[in-house]
Amino acid sequence: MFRYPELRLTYTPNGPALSNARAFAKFSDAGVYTTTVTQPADFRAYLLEQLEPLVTEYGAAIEVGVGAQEIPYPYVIESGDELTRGGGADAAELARFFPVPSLATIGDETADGEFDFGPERPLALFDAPRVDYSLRRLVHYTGSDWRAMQPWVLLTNYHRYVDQFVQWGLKQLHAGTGVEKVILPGNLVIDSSISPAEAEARVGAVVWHRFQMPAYHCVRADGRGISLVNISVGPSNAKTITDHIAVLRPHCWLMVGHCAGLRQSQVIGDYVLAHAYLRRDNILDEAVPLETPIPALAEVQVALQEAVAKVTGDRGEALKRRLRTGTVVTDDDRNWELRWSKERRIINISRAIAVDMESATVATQGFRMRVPYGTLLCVSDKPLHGEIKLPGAANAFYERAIAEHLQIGIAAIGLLQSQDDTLHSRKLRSFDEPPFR
Amino acid sequence: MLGPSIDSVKGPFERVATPNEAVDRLVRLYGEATQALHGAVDRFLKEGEPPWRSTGSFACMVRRRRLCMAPSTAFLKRASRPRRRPALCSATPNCA
Repeated sequence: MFRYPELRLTYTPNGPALSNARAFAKFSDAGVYTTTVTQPADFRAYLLEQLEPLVTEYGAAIEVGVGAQEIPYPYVIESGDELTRGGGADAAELARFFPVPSLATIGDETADGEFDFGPERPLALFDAPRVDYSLRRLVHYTGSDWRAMQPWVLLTNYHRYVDQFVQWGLKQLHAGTGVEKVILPGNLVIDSSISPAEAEARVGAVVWHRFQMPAYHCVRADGRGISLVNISVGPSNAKTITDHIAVLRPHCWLMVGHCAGLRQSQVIGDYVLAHAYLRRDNILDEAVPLETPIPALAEVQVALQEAVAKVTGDRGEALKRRLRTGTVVTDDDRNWELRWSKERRIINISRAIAVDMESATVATQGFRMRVPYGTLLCVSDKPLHGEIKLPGAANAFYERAIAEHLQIGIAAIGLLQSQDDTLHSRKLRSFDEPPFR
Repeated sequence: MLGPSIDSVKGPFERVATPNEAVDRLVRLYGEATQALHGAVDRFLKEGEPPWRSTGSFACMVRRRRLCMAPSTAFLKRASRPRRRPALCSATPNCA
């Protein structure tokens, strides 16, 4: 009665396997592929994007029915207030009579390659209980409805990027560039009917501090909207939020934030384009073993580099001085400097050029969840060369650097939006990949 | 007494001709299920009516645990007695 609908595709090829350069919406083998689906109206565009090639190119037969997985009752309750109306009931009482979220039915086995082939294979990385679980967690962490989340995502580890992003969003809103509304934590919606002065006042009143990783959304109807999530500091938050954003199947997530520069030649305010990661974050070592390379994605790397050139105006040698490409160390210990005698060698042999606490986690999660990823960091201190963050110096730096850095992130997304058919890279896919991206 | 297999609790599957029809049917089935669940929760909160009375069906899930251990297991010091042999156990809890 209270069960998710299920989508079932049967692929019975008549001839040799089709060759297709697309990274998704293809079958690796004949068979029956199934998944349960939640919120299908909101996922309509995504579902059609997957189904249409599978039907037209592969001749897959589609069936739809009621699946075996029950819908936990908290996922049909929009807010906890509904439960307290009319006397209410506690969670334990409801759990006696209604399906509840069960950890036994939620997991990332498909994404982590741990599924067994039975008579039916997974059609998608995430089934309905896993998606619903994340949709609720997204609301909790970001402070906004999950539907506000846009398919292009910027992640930052520093709140000052938020101010710049919101100002940019409001400017776009009133300039008529296609941004329909700006949504702020607490589901505060600002649309073009609200005057710039009133919008500023509302922004000032946002209760962002109530949420662990507040998100800000520039919503567009054409699928080119951008969300910025302030994930704050550390790999734990980075993993948590990307675990949940992944179920929305975004086109890309980019890390734009601060890092420590490790080279004498770097200047505070310079950029670091990560082309490799030294994973000292210790949070995904089991899901993605350390010996698994996390590849740089050419499309993303080129877009980020071009965006730096475009926004800074630097070219040639000037660009090479300002933008350094190399390995980023992501550490789970902010005070890694206090273990310098132990860290020195690993940083030496890795040729790392920067240290942060999120980028490798974000990239590894992108690899794991098949979401294209990239990292462009800004050097905010140089602990190996005596240049540490000082309040006075910091303010001067932030004024200049953050606005420019954010513009580079947005410009990079603009470049990527013109190639989203190739952005979903085959590098992120395995030999036995589920057909849906 | 074993409960029904997972496959047997699935509803009938209907073949659809196009992706759009598939999504339409998903939307309809999902809407029916969530409305029914929401309604049942509402009735329970307001009137204390358990879900199976209004739906005419027994709506509790079957909990099933499969034990695949070797017959000779180590002694476990806990209140409930561990199973000694591999077995498939099922129950419909909480609905008594």
